[in-house]
Amino acid sequence: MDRSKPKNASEGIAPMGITTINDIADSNQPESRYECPVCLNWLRDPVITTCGHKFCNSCITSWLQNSGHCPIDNINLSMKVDIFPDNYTKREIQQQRMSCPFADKGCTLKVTPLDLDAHIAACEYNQPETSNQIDIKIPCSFQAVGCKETFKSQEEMNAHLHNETQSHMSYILNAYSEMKINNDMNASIDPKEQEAMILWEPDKNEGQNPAPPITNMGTLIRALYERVVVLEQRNREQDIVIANISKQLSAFAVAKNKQNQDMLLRYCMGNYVWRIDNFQARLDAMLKDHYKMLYSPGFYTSPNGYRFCVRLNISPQNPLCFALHVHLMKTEYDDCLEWPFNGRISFAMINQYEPELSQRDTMMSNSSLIAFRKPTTEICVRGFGYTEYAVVSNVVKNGFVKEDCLIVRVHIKCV
Amino acid sequence: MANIAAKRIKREFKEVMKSEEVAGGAIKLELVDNSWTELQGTIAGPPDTPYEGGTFLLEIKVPETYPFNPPKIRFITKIWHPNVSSVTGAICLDILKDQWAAALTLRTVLLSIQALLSAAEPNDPQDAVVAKQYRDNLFLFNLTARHWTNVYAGGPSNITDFNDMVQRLLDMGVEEHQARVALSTYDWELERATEQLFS
Repeated sequence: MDRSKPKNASEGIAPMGITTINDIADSNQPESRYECPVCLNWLRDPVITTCGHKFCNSCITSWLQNSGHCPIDNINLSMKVDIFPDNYTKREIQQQRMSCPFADKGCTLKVTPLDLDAHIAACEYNQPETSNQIDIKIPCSFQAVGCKETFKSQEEMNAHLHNETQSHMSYILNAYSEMKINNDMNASIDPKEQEAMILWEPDKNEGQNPAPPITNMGTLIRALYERVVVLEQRNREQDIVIANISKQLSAFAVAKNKQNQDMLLRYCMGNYVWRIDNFQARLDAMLKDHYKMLYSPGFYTSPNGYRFCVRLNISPQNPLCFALHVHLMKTEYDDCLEWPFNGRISFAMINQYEPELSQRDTMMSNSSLIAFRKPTTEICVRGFGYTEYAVVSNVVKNGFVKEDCLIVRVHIKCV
Repeated sequence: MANIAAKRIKREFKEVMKSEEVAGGAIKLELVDNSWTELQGTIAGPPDTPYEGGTFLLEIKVPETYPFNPPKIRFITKIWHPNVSSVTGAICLDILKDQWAAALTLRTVLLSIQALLSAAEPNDPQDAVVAKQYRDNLFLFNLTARHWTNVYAGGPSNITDFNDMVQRLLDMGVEEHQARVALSTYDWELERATEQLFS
């Protein structure tokens, strides 16, 4: 007489199903005064009945097609005379703003409750997290012969199949020879065949089996061929590894070089040597177009001090002369420095054949000039220096250019 | 499933889960699958009725046109009640038919069915045999309903006389439920039940 059915049922009922509720819907639960009793959602185009109940326009319309009564109190209702738009409630709902449920993923949008569902469906942050949540992996179709790769998508697998043809071939060969061995063993043939499979360990093989029977030749060749394929594959893989490593190395070298230069500029203590390579070509370009100017990289008077660059160009007043100026440049710590800049600025254009003939000049900064105020642009628009520093033809003729390179040394010292 | 129906059922499901009736164990609701078109409800037999202590399972089918049409609900657990078919479990309740209103929810419907167990409507019967017994012999009706509750819904009252009579018919080779229906129908008169079964 005792039936276990009701007992089972009550056990099954417990909390099941609660996790399947869409959490997103949770956040969009309207307050009861804004809720349509028919769809239990936010009132959309709300209407009010003569009996004082609010519904979505479409909900009450659908309901009254089959019934003549209010869904709540059963009072007779006619679509024509008992239903009025409730624009007050409509406005109240439209004034509400709700955050997108994907706010934690970065969506900052706030929309009215009525637009929320449409937004959720279209939200760019509403991406199924296939990689994290559902970890469905497709095994390689050569799994049966030993390929252990798995893939997230068919495309990935196709690429793998394309690239790994050789290793798959060797897997198949392996599988085939194993099958063959098993068959042969079943036919109770000498197990030496198996030893032939490990021929590439010659000491073992030769020691035990100096003269393999001729019937094993086929297996032997297969085994060797398979080995060759495996080695070729490994070789190829290592070529790729080597190529990758050398690529990385050269990238490192470039980065290191750049870092070195940056360090030099930062730690030169205002003592900067500007080597202008390809001088002739640059000079020709400047002579052709007087607005062309050469700027040096920015260098620092101390590691976190003022930053200057040097400008060399054809003097706008006298096209036979070079102008040479320094410009202050912005740094991230400008606020820590004292303004305007105060200090001594020395130029030296080095005569590379007779260094004692180098042209040296020293100036003191002038705190009333805009050029020494805190720069407001990356490079201060006003420079400080000589508009007629040197005659162009003298620079070229008199030994300042050697191996197509001009050297200007600038020393800036704060006082 | 129509969007509005599915959406509403999901919201209702949550409403039921949060309700105090669920917390108090009076009603329960669970999913049968993930389609939201079929659910299983459970109601506890109300106190001071023959159904007290029993747990009654209900099949709930949600139509495409929900909530403009009522859900289709029937008892899975066999029950002896004038407004419930003792054969099919079909329920005669106005709100599941012409008095359905879109503002009703699965929670209110389950509570209405529970209320129906407390207050039968013998004048609007679903099961004429049960209703007749209810009208003519309320004492026997209560005993029978209690017995069914004990056997099918895990109720506490074990009515030995009835069990014995069912056992007698079982010994004659009659299937158990068939025997119980026959005995219940013929006011637990073994002879008449036997006669009906073997005629």
